[in-house]
Amino acid sequence: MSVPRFWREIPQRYNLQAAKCGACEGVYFPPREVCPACRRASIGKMAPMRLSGVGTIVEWTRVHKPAPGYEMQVPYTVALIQAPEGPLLTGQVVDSASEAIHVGAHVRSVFRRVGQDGEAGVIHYGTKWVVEARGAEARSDAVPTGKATDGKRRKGRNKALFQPPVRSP
Amino acid sequence: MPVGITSYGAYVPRYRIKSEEIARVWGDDANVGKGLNVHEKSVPGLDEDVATISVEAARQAMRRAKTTPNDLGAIYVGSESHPYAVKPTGTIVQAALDATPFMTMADYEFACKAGTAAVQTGMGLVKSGMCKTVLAIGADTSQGAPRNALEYSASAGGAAILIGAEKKHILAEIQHTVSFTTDTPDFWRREGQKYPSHGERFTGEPAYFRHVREASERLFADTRTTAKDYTHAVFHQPNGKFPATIAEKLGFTKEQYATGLLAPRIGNTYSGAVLLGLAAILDIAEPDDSIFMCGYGSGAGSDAFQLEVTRNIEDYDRSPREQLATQLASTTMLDYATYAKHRGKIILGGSE
Repeated sequence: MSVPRFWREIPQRYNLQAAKCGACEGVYFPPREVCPACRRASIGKMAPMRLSGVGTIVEWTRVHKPAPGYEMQVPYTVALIQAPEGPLLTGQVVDSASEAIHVGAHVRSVFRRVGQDGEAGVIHYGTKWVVEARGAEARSDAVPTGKATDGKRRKGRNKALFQPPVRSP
Repeated sequence: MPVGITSYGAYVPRYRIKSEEIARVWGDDANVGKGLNVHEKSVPGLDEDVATISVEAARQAMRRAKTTPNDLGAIYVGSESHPYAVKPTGTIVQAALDATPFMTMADYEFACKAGTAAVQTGMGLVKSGMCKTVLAIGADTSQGAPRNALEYSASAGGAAILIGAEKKHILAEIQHTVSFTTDTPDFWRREGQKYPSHGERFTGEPAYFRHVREASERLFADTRTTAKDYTHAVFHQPNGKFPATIAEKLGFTKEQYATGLLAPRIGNTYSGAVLLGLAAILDIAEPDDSIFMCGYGSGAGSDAFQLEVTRNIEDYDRSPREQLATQLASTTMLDYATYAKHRGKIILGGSE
């Protein structure tokens, strides 16, 4: 990944910055310039917002043939995570016992290394997920900044691939 | 003008390895951990480093703070295992907190006491009125060469301390600090070297004990206090034995230093060690408790502090989910092979 691209994506990678359409209130992650539902009606109305950093696993898989850069982490888990704000995210689930990873498990975001541009290149940081201990109160590592994090639940509205550590076929 | 801790956060990776497992691999005496009083140590996850540990601790501190990341005037991250040789770890913390870019920043290094040096810098900036709040972080993912004595203790963890001067926000007022610094080569890592070296027994009396004693006794003299005047005491903990020895020599009882002594369970978290011990104390402290803290960094120097807990601690979120004890209770034990993988001691070859 080029340095400028990584740098440009820091808000979404570190802090789950999404975009909310001012016309239909749809929430998109990664953020979009134009709402695919409202199209030109959304121009100039896409506002940045931050996802709360909690979610629920809707599907998951265990990866044994790693993507480049993930060789030391096999086997690792990649999951589709439903954010309460609407977007469906793809992310790696770490630090969680295999029996704790299941459809419906509550997860929260954590800040981790997601890759690096070789031994001498830039280190890429971003968001991964851990399964919340049973009975634990939902907690996000996001720091409140006063920015809006509300939004109606729009299940399956957009299915964004987020830092997918899976090998392309 | 008072200055003190207005919020704090702590993070210790969940992975552990037992001392006897390390001893098993190298054919050492299985009781070596008992001698050091380090029974197990924390190990970073495969995707954890000083930046990620600092961010997790900083996010907890800011989540519980009465001020926002936009009130920060500076971030100082102290560590001897910064992920970059050139590019400040603090910049990553600033971005992850979504904090104002209008702040000053630098990374610190002073072996195990870079975190307390960051606290002192924060005190100065806040007390002078240059900054409203300063975030001081001590974090490490310290390395010990395989089969070296350091391998039994070098661990991972960190704590973030928010320094401020608003009386209504101060949880623990920092009443005094004093430092003692000399050129003492007890432990070092040359540029480009993967693992540090140390002077073995030389790390004891002329290094750790002398510096901690000098700084502590000067603090006692300056504040006209003795060990009996403190509710809690916490010292840098390269192992579980050194801090107990110096604490007792200075007149502290086990009851006073037990809460902050984490090394037997997590090893030596280097720049994070004394601040994590302080976090454990603040988690259970009551108003008017007095805390004695003394960090140590090889090279060598000691920073001693006198703190007093305020009534504001009663309204601060110290619920079980926020306590360090809750984090430390949830662990995953590793065998040596998996530990070697976590610490980058396995070199992959060939292609899949």
